[in-house]
Amino acid sequence: MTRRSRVRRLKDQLVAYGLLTPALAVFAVFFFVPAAYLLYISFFHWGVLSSATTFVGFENFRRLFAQPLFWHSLATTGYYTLVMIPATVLLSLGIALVLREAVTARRGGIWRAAVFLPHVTPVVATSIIWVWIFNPQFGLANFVLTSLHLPALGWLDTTQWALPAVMIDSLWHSLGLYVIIFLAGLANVPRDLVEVAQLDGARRQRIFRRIIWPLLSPTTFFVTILATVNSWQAFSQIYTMTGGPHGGAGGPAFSTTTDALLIYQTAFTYYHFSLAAAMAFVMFAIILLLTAVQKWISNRLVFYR
Amino acid sequence: MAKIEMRDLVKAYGAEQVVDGVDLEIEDGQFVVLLGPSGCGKTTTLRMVAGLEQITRGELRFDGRLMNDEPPDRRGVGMVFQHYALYPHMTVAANLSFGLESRRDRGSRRRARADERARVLEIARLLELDHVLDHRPKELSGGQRQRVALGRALIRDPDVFLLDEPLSNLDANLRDRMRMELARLHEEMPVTTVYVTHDQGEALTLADLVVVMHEGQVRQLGAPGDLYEHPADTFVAGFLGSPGMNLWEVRTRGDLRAPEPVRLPGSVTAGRVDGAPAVTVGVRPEHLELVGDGHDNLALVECRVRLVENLGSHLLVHATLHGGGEEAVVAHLAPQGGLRRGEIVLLGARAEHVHLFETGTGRRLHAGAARRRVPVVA
Repeated sequence: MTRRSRVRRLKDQLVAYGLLTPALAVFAVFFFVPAAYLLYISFFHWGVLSSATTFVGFENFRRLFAQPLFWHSLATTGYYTLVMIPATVLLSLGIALVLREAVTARRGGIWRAAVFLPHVTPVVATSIIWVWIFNPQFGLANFVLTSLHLPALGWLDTTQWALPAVMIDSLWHSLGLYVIIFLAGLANVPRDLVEVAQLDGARRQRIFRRIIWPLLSPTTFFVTILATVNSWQAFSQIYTMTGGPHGGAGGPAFSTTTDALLIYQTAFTYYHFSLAAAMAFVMFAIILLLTAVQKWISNRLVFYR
Repeated sequence: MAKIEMRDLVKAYGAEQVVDGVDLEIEDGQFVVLLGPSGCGKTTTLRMVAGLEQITRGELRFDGRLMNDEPPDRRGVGMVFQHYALYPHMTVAANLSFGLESRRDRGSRRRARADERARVLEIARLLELDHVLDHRPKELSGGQRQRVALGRALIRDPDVFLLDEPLSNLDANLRDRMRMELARLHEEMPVTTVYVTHDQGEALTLADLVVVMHEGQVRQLGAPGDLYEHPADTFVAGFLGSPGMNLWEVRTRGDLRAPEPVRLPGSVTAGRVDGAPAVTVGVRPEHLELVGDGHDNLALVECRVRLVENLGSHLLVHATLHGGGEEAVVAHLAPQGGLRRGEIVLLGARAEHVHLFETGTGRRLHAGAARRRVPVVA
């Protein structure tokens, strides 16, 4: 390499990093630094009011793993995520297919907006509405159930139905985004492939199974990852629906105490910052692992054109 | 194999008629090319035949059987799309066999599978694809993709074979080769074929019957040579040929024997338009030659040379009519020196190469028939 081309390359790199700096700075201040600091804190006993901090090594992690509630919160989050992923994918894909097929192009915009609207509403405000809907005495949910001659449920007052109630709210709130993503994915499936399959004598079901579904797999993968991360981090709707600022969130009997909620309570209710930091780090590791596993699976199942 | 009949076929989107009353009869085994500029309705016509587009009005029959409401898979058509539309996630073999599997009966699955494999191999050999059967489309060359698309359409032995601009995505060399390939294929498997293109070269070399379309209507149909020699109107005359026919509007003052600025020989004008104030004269570029004065049996145009392009085998001379409305003249001339820009030259064409069209409607004036059509202006 000549001197001149070396200089030019250096210049190019300087320009590139220069342009990256503003975004990188914001990212560093709000993500990288706190994340690193979090890991740092998790190795200390960290007083909130006093400045007394002592290095304790893996003590926080040891305490964490010895705590049954921590394992319980992981199980609850796992349950929540395991229901939310397939429900999200199936419902949003289903709605996207219906929207694409049954809605004329002229009215399509209205329907898409209607489906997307819940996603842009504030979670806390709409979750309060959902609390009313799930009210065992006068709520809309039980009204619908009893109208259909089904037994009324205790919803948020029962350990069995509290988390499903939260799931329904979360689905309602998040589906719009996933529907739009699936609609975009469906629009990317070339129309002539579907036409060729029709000429080839394939029926609707077979066209979906053999043509649309495989070609949609990158979208499905993306939605799955997004749903996993969002589910594992679910907080606002659970906090609002099960207790809110008046305390008691995560109940009844810890049935809705998810990972994120437990981290929040450990840090800001009980002021065990270093313990909460250790939890947050474990959560980060879990999400990273889940994403890696999904990526590994996707390499075998996802078809990229 | 099937005979295709279209009766007053119409496709409308709202008030707009994309295909406007197409009447066409295609004999069993015939190779028909729908030719026209983009937006002329040729592809929509093809898609109606395939069943991919609902027919707004009119009748479509295969062997006398009404097809208007038959779904695409029940029409026995195989189609090749412009962009091939290969299933990108399937191997070549799977692309070829998808149609066979879709139609497979529930019973005798094992037997069906063996038959299908044999059929895939047979088609792959015919199209020289047997060595790429487990490749995905993106690993193939343009020509191979094209052949997979052909194979997929042919594997079910269709009664009707439809091709929508199949060669437009290939480079020039490959296009010539595939064109010959298609001609060979049609000879080996004489399936009734409808081929859509805007490329007149493809149309004239491949077709038994060329159908020229414009603005949703059939402007002329006939054997390739016929269309070229006897275009029915100015659109066909200008569209066929590269460059198209020269068309000059000529004032006659009611008398064809003294038009300006084109002089016509008596053998052209005899028995034609006596009363029309104007007429359109057409001469193909290759029928013009440099002449001296005093040729009574030639049509003569005086023009000013604007640009001379030397194409090796001939000169392509761009000029404008001298003394007329500056209308363009294009001529293929034998290579010669001395033609300069701005020079005024006399070009001539033999009487049998001069075409007359009615100005306004653009319709061809046939000897004798013209008198009825053209209003006489006193």
